[in-house]
Amino acid sequence: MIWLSVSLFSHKNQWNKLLSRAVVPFVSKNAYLNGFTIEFNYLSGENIRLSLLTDEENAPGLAKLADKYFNNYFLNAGLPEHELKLPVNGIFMPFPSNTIQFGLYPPKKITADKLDNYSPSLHFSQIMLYALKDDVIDDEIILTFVFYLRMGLIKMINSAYPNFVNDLKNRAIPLDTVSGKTAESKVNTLKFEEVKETLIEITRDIFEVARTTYLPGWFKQWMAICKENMSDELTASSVYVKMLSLIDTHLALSTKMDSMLTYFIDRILLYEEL
Amino acid sequence: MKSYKISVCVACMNRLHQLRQTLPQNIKDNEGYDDLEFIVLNYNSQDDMEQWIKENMSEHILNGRLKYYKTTEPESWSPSHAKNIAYKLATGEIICGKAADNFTGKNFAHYVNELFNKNSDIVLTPIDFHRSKQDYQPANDVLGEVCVKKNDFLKIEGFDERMDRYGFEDYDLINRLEMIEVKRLLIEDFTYLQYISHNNNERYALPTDDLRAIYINYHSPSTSEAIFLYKDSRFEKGVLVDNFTKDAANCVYAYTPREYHFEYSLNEPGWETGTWINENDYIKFSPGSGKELIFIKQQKGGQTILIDADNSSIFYSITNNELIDSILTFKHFIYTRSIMEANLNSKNAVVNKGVFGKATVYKNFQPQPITV
Repeated sequence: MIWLSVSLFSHKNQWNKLLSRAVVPFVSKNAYLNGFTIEFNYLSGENIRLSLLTDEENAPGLAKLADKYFNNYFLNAGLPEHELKLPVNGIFMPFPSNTIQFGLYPPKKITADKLDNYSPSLHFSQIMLYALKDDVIDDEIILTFVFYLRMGLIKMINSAYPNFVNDLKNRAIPLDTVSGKTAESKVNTLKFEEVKETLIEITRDIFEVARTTYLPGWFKQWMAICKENMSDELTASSVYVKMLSLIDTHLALSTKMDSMLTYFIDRILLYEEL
Repeated sequence: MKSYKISVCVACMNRLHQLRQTLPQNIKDNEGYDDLEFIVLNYNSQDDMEQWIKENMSEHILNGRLKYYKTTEPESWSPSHAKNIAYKLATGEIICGKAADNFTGKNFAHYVNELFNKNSDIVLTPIDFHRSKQDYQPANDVLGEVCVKKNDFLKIEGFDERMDRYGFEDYDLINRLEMIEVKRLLIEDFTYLQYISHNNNERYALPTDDLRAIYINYHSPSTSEAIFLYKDSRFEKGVLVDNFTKDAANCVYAYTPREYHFEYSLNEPGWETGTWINENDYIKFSPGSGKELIFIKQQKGGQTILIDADNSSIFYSITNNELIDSILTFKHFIYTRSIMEANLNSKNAVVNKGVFGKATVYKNFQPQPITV
């Protein structure tokens, strides 16, 4: 089998349409397809990496099909063109938006016995499709999405390793040591005050049994993935790091967003009763 | 099993802070191998290297395990020249080149001896130039490590001394050894590829002092034309290519790996050079060959742009420091890499025309000069 390397270039605020109106129909009924993953990416312009798993003999046919299908979508979707402003912050200009490109990351051949290694990515991609197809995707949406994912992960790990939340609390940086000390922490503090109530509500929905009905539909699937990836051989920390890496691989969080999320979670863990 | 005499060679300029961590450890880690010497070449190091060796390594010099050489001639780091001197000074049948920041790992000499006993026509390296192993990715910090028979090294006349700056001299050496039927064997045990991590500033200095400006004309997502203007009125112009994004609209690349060894390259015929003159509202370029070119200067969004006479090309002035560093790094590596590629394409196994690793050195603090 082989993972085909496909990149769909489109402005981020059009990604939800691209996912719901093009990616979902394409992956839903495709006889050549054995699986797919999606990853957000910002190299050479805003794009979604759509990796398509197929048998080697079907690779040329599926690649041609994807080429034709997505070119047709971009041609008829009426997505706005974005004027390229030069110079850009790079040696080369980005790819034009509303185009499909191939091989920008290496295609990868795998044997059937290695397919299990890709299971978390395959499942996580499904969750992304469900969770992010309806609203215009921006940093705010991604931030909220990842907050749900990280808090869910913490809950799941803590149910198997009951000291995990306490360990995280001990590792969290107390407010008085960071708040307002750097430009980054000032931004994080201001943002936290802005979204604090929402984050506390989400946290309660996740941690309080009576409120779990308020959780979005995809959340259960995420908890199932977290559970599947825990085993007796792994420590709580290694599961946490592994799953954070899965989230990061698929959502390409910037350092700034990652730092903000860590700050939010530290605040919630240290100052809210879970 | 034969016990080869092995020489571990370290050429060093201004890296005492690393050498003081690696050298004592490396000597200790290989105590169990008798036929072993460490050659340390002080390549006109301006730190306290000599003093440190004298104060801390005398025991090893006295027992013959360490041979310390110093040359006072070089003004800047030239890796090919430095390593050629050190390797020529080695008396072992097998030379193992290490950088000041490299650890040998425990019983490295035994490991090397064992592999050369299995097959003596080999060169040990972490450079998988032919991409023979999937997911084999040693750190860049250790790519200079090499173990080669001294005879083979001398046959190809060592590192190509035209490569007078950091980068690709090791790739080139191994490629040329392959041309004389020496087999590339990858160092697969990462125990022997440990190192002290450090930043690129210590590896190479980017030449910003003589640079006046850089302009870029963005052609496509995989090609851009760059002009470097130097303070002494020289210019260089060339088309930079990103091989990993080339022809990305072709769906064949969805399932066919790209065949390029390196991400970036310079389009033929390479750098076009000449002189430039700055006038009030234009810049005149006089290439070494071909027609003069006039570019009109304009201000756009607070930035200087150059537009050629028929309005077909726009070059943007690059002022972002990070981007300037990226372009200069690209240029730095293209220089040494193009020499490697030329040797490879012309199947040029032997370089340096008989003259390599020439220097006057002083052994173990003695005043008598030795000509290498």
